[in-house]
Amino acid sequence: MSFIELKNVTKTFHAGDEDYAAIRNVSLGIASGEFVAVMGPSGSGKSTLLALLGGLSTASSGTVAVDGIDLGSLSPNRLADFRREYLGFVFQSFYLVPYLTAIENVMLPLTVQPGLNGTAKAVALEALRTVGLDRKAGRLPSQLSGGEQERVAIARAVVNKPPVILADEPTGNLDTKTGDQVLDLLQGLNAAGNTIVMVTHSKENALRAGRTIEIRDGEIG
Amino acid sequence: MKLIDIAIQNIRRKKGRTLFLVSGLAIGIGAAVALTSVGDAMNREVMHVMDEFGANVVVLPASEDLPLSYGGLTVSAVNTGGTSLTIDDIRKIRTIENSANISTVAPKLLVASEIRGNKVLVAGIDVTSEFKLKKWWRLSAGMKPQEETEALIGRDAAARLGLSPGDKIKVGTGHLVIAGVLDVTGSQDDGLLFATIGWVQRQFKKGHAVSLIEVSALCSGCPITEITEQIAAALPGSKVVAVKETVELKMQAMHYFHKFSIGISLLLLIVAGMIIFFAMTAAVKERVNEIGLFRAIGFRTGHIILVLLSEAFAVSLLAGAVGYALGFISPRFIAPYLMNAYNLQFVFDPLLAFGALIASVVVGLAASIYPALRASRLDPVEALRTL
Repeated sequence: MSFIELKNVTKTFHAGDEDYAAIRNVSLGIASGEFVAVMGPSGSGKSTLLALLGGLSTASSGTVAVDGIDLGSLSPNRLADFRREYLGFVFQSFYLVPYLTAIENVMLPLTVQPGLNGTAKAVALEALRTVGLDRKAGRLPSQLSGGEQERVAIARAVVNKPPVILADEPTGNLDTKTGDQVLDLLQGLNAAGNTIVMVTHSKENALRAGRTIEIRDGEIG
Repeated sequence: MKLIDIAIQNIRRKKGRTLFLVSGLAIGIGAAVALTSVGDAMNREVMHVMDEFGANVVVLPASEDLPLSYGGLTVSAVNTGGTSLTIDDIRKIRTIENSANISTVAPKLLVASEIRGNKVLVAGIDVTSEFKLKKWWRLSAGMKPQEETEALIGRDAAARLGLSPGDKIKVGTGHLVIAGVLDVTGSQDDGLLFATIGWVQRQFKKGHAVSLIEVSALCSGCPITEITEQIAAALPGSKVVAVKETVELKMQAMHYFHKFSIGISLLLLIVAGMIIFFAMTAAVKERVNEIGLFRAIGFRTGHIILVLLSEAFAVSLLAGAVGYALGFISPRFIAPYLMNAYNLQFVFDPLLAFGALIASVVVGLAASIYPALRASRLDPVEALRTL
C-alpha cells in the first residue's frame, strides 16, 4: 500500500441544478519520499486533487488515505489535527497573514501544536534559516519581495516537520530566477525525506519532480 | 506565540480597523453612559429644586390659644401661656441628626391688626428664607424689602387698602413703608401684610415668639419620618406636622424621571448593540481568507473561535473604557448647550463605570459569537478561494 493512496475517487460539485465532476474515478498511489508533479490545463481538476489529498475537501465517492488513515472517516476537527501533523501547504499566492511578521507567520502552525514549551520561536527561526530568511524574521509580508514571501510560506509549511508537502503552483507568481530558487528548496526538502506533490503548469518545473501525473477533464491520463 | 497573540497583533497592527470597531462600540456605550449621567444629574437637580419648593414640615406650638388659620393650618395668634415657639427653636431645628437634609427654615409670627380701618393679618417673616421657600412668589410692583421698616403686601390686601409701593402705613404703634406688592398667588398670602419678623415681634411685644416654623427638608431618599421625629424631640411640646402630599408628589416625580432615564438608556444600548453586531460581522467576514488559511494549517474550530472572541473581548473592553470616559466627560460640555442646564452636577459613579465595561464586553462578545461560529465552520476550500 502506498503512503498516499486514492481509490476510485470522484469529486462532484453542484452548480445550480447540474452536477459537475471535477475528479472522475481517479486511482493513484504516491510512495513516501516521492516528488510528484501534477500537470494539466486550467480547470482540469489539479487543485481539486490537491484539496482532496490535503483533507481540505472530501471525496464524493471512493477513498483517500494517507499513511493508512482514511480521510473520509475523520471529523472536521480530526481532519484539522491530521493536516497539522502530516501536511504542509505552499500556495501560489503565499497566503501570509499580513499583520504578522515573517517569524510570526512561520510560528502559526506551532501555536496549536501541543508540547513545544517555549521552543516555538527557536524552531521557527531555524525554519527561516533553512530558507535563508532568518535575518528578515521581524519584517511584515509587505516589507518582503514576492520570492521572499514564498520562502516564508515554505518555512511555514515545513516548520512542524510534516512528512508531506502539497504545493499549488508555488512559482506561479514569481520570476524565473526566484522560481528556480523555490524549486531548489522543494528539491532539497524532498532530498531530506519529504513527500512532495506539486501542481504546476510548467513542464520545466515538472522536470524537477521524480514523476509527473497528467490530469485532463478530471481524469488521469 | 500563543493563539491570543494573533488577536493582539491584529488589534495592534490593523489600527484603522481597530479604531473603527472601538469607535462604534465606544459611541454606543458612551451615549448610554452620557444619558445615564445626565439623567442622574437632572434627577438630582430636579429633586434639589423640588426639595426647595415649598415646605414639607410645619412646626406649631401646642397651645390652647384662640386660633388663626394659615395655609389651612390652625395657628395660635397670641400665646397666653403654656409652650411657645421662639426664634431660638430655629437653631435647634438646624442641629438635628438629619440637619444635612434641612434646606430652608422659615419662621412666621402671625398677628391680627387694623390698617386704615380694615382688619388685616400681619405675618412677620424672614424675607430671604420666605422667598427661598416660596419660589412662586413674584412681585407685581416695587421690590423686596431691604430695610426692617419695609413691608410686602398681598395683591388683594393692596387693592382692598388702596396701597402701592412707597405708601406709608401705621401698623400697631409703628409705621411701615410698602416696598413691594406680591403678584397673585391664589393662596391666603394674597390677603396678608408681610413685615420682617423682628419688627413685628417688637411692635406687638411678642419677645422672641413665633407662631409657626415652616421647614423645607431635602427629600431625595426622603427620611421625612425621621426628620419629623427628630424635630419633635428637639422641640418638646411642639406639634410637628409632615405635609405628606408634598412628600408623595416629590417621590412620584423622582420615580417617573428615574423610569424615563432607564428606558432611554436601554433603548440606546439596544441600538448600540445592533451597530456593534453589524460591525463585528463585517470585521469577521473581512477575515474569511485568514480563517481558511488557519483551517488549512491545522486550526480546530475551537482555536478559530478563541482567536476571534479574544479579539472581540479586547476590543470591547477597550471600547467600554473609552465609551465610559466619553460618556462621563461629554455631558459637561454638551449639556449646557443642548439643555440650558448649567448647574448639573456630574459625579463619578464606580458602579456605572463597572457596568459600562461589563455591558461593552457582553454586547461585544454576544455580537461576535454568531459570526465567529459561522467563520469557524467555513469550508477551507471556499475560504481559500476568496483569497
